[in-house]
Amino acid sequence: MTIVETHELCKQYGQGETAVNALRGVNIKVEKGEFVAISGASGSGKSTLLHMLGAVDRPTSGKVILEGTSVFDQREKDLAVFRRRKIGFVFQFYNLIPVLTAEENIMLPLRLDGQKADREYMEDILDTLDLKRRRNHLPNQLSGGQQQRVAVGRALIHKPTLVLADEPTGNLDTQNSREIMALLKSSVRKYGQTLILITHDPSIAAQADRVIRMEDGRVSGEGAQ
Amino acid sequence: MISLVWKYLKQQKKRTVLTILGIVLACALVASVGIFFSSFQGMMVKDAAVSAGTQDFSLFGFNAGETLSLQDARKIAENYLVKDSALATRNQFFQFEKDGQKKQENLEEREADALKMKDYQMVEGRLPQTENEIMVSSEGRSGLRVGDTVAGGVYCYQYLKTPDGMQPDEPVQIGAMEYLVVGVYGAESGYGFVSGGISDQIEHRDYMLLLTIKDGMNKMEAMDTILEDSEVQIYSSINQNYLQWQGKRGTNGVQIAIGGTFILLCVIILFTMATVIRNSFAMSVSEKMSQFGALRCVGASPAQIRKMVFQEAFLVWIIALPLGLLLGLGAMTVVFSVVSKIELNALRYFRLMVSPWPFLLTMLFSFAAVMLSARSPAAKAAKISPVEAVRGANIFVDSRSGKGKGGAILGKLFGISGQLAGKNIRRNKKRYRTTILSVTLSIALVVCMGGFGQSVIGGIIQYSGNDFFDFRITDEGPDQEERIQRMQSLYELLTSRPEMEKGAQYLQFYTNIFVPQEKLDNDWLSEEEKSGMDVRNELENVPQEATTGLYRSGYVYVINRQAYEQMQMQSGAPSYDELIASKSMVVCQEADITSLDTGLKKKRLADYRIGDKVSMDLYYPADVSSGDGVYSHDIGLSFSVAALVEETPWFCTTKSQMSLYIPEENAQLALEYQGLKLDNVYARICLKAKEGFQEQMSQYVQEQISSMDQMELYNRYHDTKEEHNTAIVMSIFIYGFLGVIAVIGSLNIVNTINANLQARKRELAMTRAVGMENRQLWSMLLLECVLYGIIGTFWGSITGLLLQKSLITALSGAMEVPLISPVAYVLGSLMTSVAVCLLAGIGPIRRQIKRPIVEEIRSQE
Repeated sequence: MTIVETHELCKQYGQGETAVNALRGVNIKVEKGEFVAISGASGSGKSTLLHMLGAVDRPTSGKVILEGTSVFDQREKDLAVFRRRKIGFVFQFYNLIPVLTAEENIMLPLRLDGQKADREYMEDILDTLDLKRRRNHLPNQLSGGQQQRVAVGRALIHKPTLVLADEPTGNLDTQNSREIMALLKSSVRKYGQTLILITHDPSIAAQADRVIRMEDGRVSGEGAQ
Repeated sequence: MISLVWKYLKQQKKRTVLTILGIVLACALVASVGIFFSSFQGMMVKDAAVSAGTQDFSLFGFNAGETLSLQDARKIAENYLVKDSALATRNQFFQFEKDGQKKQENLEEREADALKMKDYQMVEGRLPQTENEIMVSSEGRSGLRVGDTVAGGVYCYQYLKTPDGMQPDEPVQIGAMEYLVVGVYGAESGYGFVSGGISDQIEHRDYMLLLTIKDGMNKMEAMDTILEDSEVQIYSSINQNYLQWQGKRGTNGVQIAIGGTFILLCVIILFTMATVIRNSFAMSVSEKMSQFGALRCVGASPAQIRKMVFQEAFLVWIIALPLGLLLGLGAMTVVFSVVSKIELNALRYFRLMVSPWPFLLTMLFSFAAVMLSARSPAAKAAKISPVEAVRGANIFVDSRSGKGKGGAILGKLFGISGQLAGKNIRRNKKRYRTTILSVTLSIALVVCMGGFGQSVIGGIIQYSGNDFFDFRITDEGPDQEERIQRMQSLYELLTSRPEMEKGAQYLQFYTNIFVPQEKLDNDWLSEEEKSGMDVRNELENVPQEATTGLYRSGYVYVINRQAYEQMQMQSGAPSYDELIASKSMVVCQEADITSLDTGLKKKRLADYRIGDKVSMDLYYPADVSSGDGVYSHDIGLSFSVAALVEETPWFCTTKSQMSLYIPEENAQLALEYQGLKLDNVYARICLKAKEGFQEQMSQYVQEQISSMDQMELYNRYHDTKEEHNTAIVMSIFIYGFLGVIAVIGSLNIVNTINANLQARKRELAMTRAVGMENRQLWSMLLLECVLYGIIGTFWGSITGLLLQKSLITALSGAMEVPLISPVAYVLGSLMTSVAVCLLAGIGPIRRQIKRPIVEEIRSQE
C-alpha cells in the first residue's frame, strides 16, 4: 500500500535571474513499512524533497499525498496537527529546545497535542534510547549522540505514520551512527512505520530497502537493495 | 506550554529582568501620577469644604434687602428631595468695646449641623457648642483670645427701597449678647465671629439655609423643583467648586486641564514602556526563531506559537505589576512626607490620598500596553515557518541585510573601523529603526519632561530675582487727613528698625492713560492684537492732536522726595524741586509682561519722550459695593514728561502696567480734578527688610498693625516664599518623574543595543577570524553606539519639544505656563544618551572578545 507519493513536485527559490530550481517535477512513491534512503550530491534537492514530504516547507507546485490526503491542500493550522500526529522528523543538527530536559523534549509533540504520554511507553522509549539516567538533563548537558537520541525519541513518541530523517548521523561518530540507525530501524519495524532517510553514507544506504538517487532536483535513479 | 515560556524567561535572565524592571518603573510612574492627581483632587475638595462648606446649595435673600424668613426656610427644608439641611443667620454684626475702642465684627450664628457643614480648621481651642460661645477668625482684628468674654449688641444690616433701587440704611440692633471665646479658626473659612447655635434672645431677620440634595439626583433640577414646591422667591447658590471637585457637578476648566495633562502624561509613559517591551519581545522572538521553527516542525500551530509570546508578555506583566504599584505607593509616601515639611500655604491640604482608581487605571493601562506591544512580535513568531528550524542552524548572514551605504566620512576620520561602523548601523533597516526609536523615545521624554518642568516652574516664579517690596500696608480708613497722619507715624516707626533696608510712602490711584497711535510700539501692538486685545478703540472727546490710540491701564503714584530719590532715572533727570517747579511728572512705560510664547519679558508699552504730554482718564466707581464704574471720558488732564524711568521702582504695586509719578506738592490738582472719592485713593507704605530678617520683620509689621483699624497688610515676602516653595514642590514631583523616565529610557537603550550586538555574535566572530584586531573591533562597535546616541538625540529633541508644547497646551486651562526651550536638557540628553549607548555596548563587546572565535561560530543560540 502506498503510504506517501509526490506528483510533479517542484520548488523554486528566488526569482528571475537568481532563481534556483531545487526540485523539478519529482514523482516518487513509498510503500507502507518501507525503509527508503535518498542520496545525491550537495544541492541535488534531497533535503528539499524531505522537507516537502514532512510539510516543513511548501512546494512551488505539485502535490504530496500522505495516506490519501493531499498534504498542502490543508490550512496551516491543520498542517501543524498533521505534522505532530503523522510525521516524525529527525534533523541533522538535532534542533532540540534548549530550555527543556531530554524527557520534555521527547514529550513535546504530545504536549502540543494536549495529550499525556503513556508512562509505560515513555519509560520504554527512554530505555530503548539509553536516556533513563539523562532524562532530566538539558541539551547542553548531553553529548551529540545523546542529543540525537533525544531527537529520535521526539520523532517516535507519537508513533507517527512517517519518519523522516535528514542525515541523522551526519554529526556523529561511527559508533553513535550505528546505534542511531539501529534504533530507527527497530522502531519503525516494531510499529510498522515508514522511514525515509537522507544519507551520504553508503553503509547506511545499503541498509535501506530502496535508494532514490537525486541529481539537479530530479530523481536520477532508484534501486532496490 | 506556559512552563516552556517560563523556562525561556529564566534562560534569558538578564533580558527578563530588564523587561520586568521597565514595566515596574512604568507602572510605578503611572500609579504615582495617579496618586498625585487623586491627592490633588482631595486637596481641592478639602479646600472647597474649608472655604465654602460641604452643602450643595446655600439659600438666601435674592437681592440686597430681601431676606429668607425662618418659616420659609423650614418649609424648604421639609421638601422630600432634601437630604440634609441646616440654618445660619445672615447680614449681622456684633458691636463691642475692647481696650476702650469700639469694634465690630460680622456675626454668623450657626446651628450645630451648619457648623459641621463647614470644615473649619481650628488654629486654637475648639468649635463653639452653644449660642453663647463663639470662635473668632485668625485674621480678625478683634484682639480677642480664647477664654475672653465679650458683651455687646447684635445688629442687622438694613436696606431701604428707593427709586434708585435698594440703598443701605442704618443698621438696627436686634439683640444683646455675651459671648465666651472658645476657639480661633483659620481665616480660609471667613473673617468674623461664629457662634455655636442660633440664639432665642435675638430677633433674627435674615437666614441662610444650607442644604444637601438626595443622592442620585440632578442637583440643579432638584433645586428648581424644591423652589417651585415651596413657592418661595429665594436665591440658591450652588457650591460649584466643592461639587465639581467631587465629580458631582460636571467639570471646570482646571479639572479638564489637569485631567488632560494626566492622561497625556500616562500615554507618554505607557508608550515608552510599550516600546521597551515590544523591543524586548522582538529580540526574544528573533533569538528563538530556530526554536520556534523546531516547535513548528514537531507540530506546534501558529496559534500556539503566538500564544507563547502572549504568555511571555503576561508573565512579565503579572510579576511586574504588584512590584510597580508598591513602588509607586512607596515613592509617593516618601515624596509626600518630604513635601509636608515644606512650608507652603497653597498646599496646606495636600496630603497623600490613596484611592483605588490610580491602581485600577495602572493595571488596566499597563495590561493593555503590554499586550498590545506583544502583538507584533507574536504575529511575527506565528509566521515563522518550520523550515526556519533547519535554515537557522548554520547561517549567520542576516537575510534582511542591505548593502550598507555611508561610512565614507567616518572612514576618513577613524579608518576601517569607522567605515564599517557607518555601514553597519544602516545595514539592517529594521534593526536600525528599532535602536534609533529606542534612543529617540528616551531622549524625547527627558527633553519633554525637563522642558515642561522648567516651564511650570517658570510660570510659578514670576518676579523672582527682581527688586520688589516685602510688605505693603494700605490704610483704608475714611478720613484722608487722618490716614496721612497715621501712615506717617507708622512709616517712621517701621523704618526706624535697623532690620528694615528701605521704605517708601505714597498715595496711589488707578487711571487710564491715553496713548496716541504714534506713541505705540507697533511690534508689541501686533502681539497684543494676536492675543485678542482690541487695540484700535476710538472714543469721543479724545484730544484733538490724536484721533486714534489706545487706553492703557496704569497707576498714578503721588510720591514724596524720599521715594523720588529711590527711583532709577535716566540720565539728565530733574531734581525733585525742579519736578515740582515744572509741574511735570515721571513716566515708566516699561513693563514685565508674561506671554505663553516668550515667558516673562520686558516690553515697552508706549514711546513717550521727555517733553511729551501724557493725558489721563480717571476711572472712579459710582458704586463702591457693586464695583460698577463710569469712565469720565474727559482726558483734559495732562502733565508733561520730565523724566523717564527704565525700571519700575521697587515700591510699585505691579510691574506689568504703565505708571506715572507726580510729586505730592503737585498732586492736589490731579486729586481735585478727579473729584475723587477717597475710597480709591490708596495711602500706602512699602517696606523691604534686610536679607535674613524678612521673617522677623513680617511678624513685627503684623503685630504693629493688628491693633490698628482698617489697615490692610499684603505680605509679599510670604507670597514669594510660597512661590518658591511651590516651585520646590513642583520640582520634586516633576524631576522625580523625570528621573524615573530617564531610567526607563536608559533600560530601553541598554536592552536594544545589547540585543543588537548579541544578534551579530557569529558575524563579529568571523570578522575577528579574518584578522580584525580587538582594538579595531572596540572602536567599530563603540562608534556604532555613539552614532545611535547622536542620531537618536537629534530626533528625540525635536519630538521632545513637540511633546512639551502639547503638555503645556493641555495644562494651559489650569495655569499660564511659558514655553521655555530646554536647551540644557537637549545638551544633557546628548551626553547622557551617548554615555548610555557606550555603557550598554561595553559589556557585550567585552564578552565577545573574551570568548574563542570558533565557539562563537559554532554556537547555535
